[in-house]
Amino acid sequence: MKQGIRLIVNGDPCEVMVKPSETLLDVIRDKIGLIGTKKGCDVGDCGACVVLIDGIAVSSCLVLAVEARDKKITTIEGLANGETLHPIQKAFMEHGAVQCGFCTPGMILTAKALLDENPNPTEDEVREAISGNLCRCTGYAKIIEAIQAAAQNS
Amino acid sequence: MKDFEYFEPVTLNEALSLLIRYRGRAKVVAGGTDLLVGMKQGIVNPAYLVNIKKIPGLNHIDYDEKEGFRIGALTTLHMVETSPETESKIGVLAEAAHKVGARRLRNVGTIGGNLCQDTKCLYYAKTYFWGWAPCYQGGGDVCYAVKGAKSCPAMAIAETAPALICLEARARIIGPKGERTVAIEDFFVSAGVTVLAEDEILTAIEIPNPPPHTAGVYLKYSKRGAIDFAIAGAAVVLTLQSGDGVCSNARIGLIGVARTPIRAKRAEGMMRGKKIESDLIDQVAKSASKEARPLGDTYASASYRRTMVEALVKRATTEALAVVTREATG
Repeated sequence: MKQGIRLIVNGDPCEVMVKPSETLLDVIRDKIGLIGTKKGCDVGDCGACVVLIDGIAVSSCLVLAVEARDKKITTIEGLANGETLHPIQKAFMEHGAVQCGFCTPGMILTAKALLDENPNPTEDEVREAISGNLCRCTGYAKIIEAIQAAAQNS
Repeated sequence: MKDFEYFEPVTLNEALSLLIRYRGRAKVVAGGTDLLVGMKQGIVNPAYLVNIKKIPGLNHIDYDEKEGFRIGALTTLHMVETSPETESKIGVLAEAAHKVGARRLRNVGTIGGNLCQDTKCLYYAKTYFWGWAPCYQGGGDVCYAVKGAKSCPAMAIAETAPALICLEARARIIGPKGERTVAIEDFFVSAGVTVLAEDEILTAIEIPNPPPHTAGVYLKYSKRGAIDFAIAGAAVVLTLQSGDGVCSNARIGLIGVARTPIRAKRAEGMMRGKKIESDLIDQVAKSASKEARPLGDTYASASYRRTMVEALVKRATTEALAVVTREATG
């Protein structure tokens, strides 16, 4: 039984018809059309689907779309300001922290949640913060560097 | 995920009415980080889903010097981990909450949900996907992980349980017949199965105020440093008498070493009334390892877990002693 719900994604209200069983991840990608958020494991283990709900990092694959009604959702597409990249995005580019790019949206949003809460994290705190985001390409070193650089420059 | 009817009750009574009306076909969802996984895997298929997150009064950490702690079942693990009161007074629970999953899972995962977690046996998880007949846990009459098992041998993996058991915590449960409390150590029946009836809801965890000079530690052994469930976990909480440093109370909570979280009662008894020294700790660890009844499963063998328990209890007791001695003299 579909119902109409309103999701506020990157500041824009979106009205979508959803079944209760649809996850926020699927609705963001398939109904709203924002495919920056990735589907990895779909069970909350890999971190590829991280979005921010009211500023808090969550696995969007484990959130039912109906639960996110009227909440402020931030996807990776919401970070840049027009053509100007967010400092974390710039740092990822400058430090070679992106290879295939699949983990990147989740990584960057997790980093944003970290830096919003702790603007000057130690390396251990950065490692701890991204410990739930899997990357098969980079070996994490450049990602950690990039996050630290972004913290420095802010 | 199979379709279901979705409800967002705003009172406990509304939620209970739904669980009664749809008894056996309804499930409560809190954080969703456990239940939704099972629903996606096709092994848990409630026709009715009752989201209790809109019910006020279940998400809180209250502390009173006489009454102790009352932690609402919907309190997120992140809140449990970072609340100044839990950190300072029942640090072992904050430590245990911190070791669950990852930050983003702790942001939404609740302490109540952690206790009610379903088993993570890989065979159970894949039964529907592989098109096999359900195993015991899925309502069938076979076990694919352990040949010839007469019932589900999986182990409960509620990681906050050892710490809660050590803190003598009780679960507050509400149902159509009213409220009741159950000691956490009696809350578990087997992996994914608790004493909660189909029409009951866990509302709070109550923890008595720890006596002075009480502190503890929770150690977790897992293959990976993050995200992984524990292969074995040990919480040790010690109370020292002031003045002579003799141990007046000791509690050891273990997970991954039996079908439910257990206390190592004989090992605990060895420490009461004594001054704890390293020889005693070795004996305590050996006793705890013998009291463990681990089963081999897809993650580790029984003998490996038994060995791990001994090491974990030895380390946890040593560290707990250091923490409580510091706190008693500092």
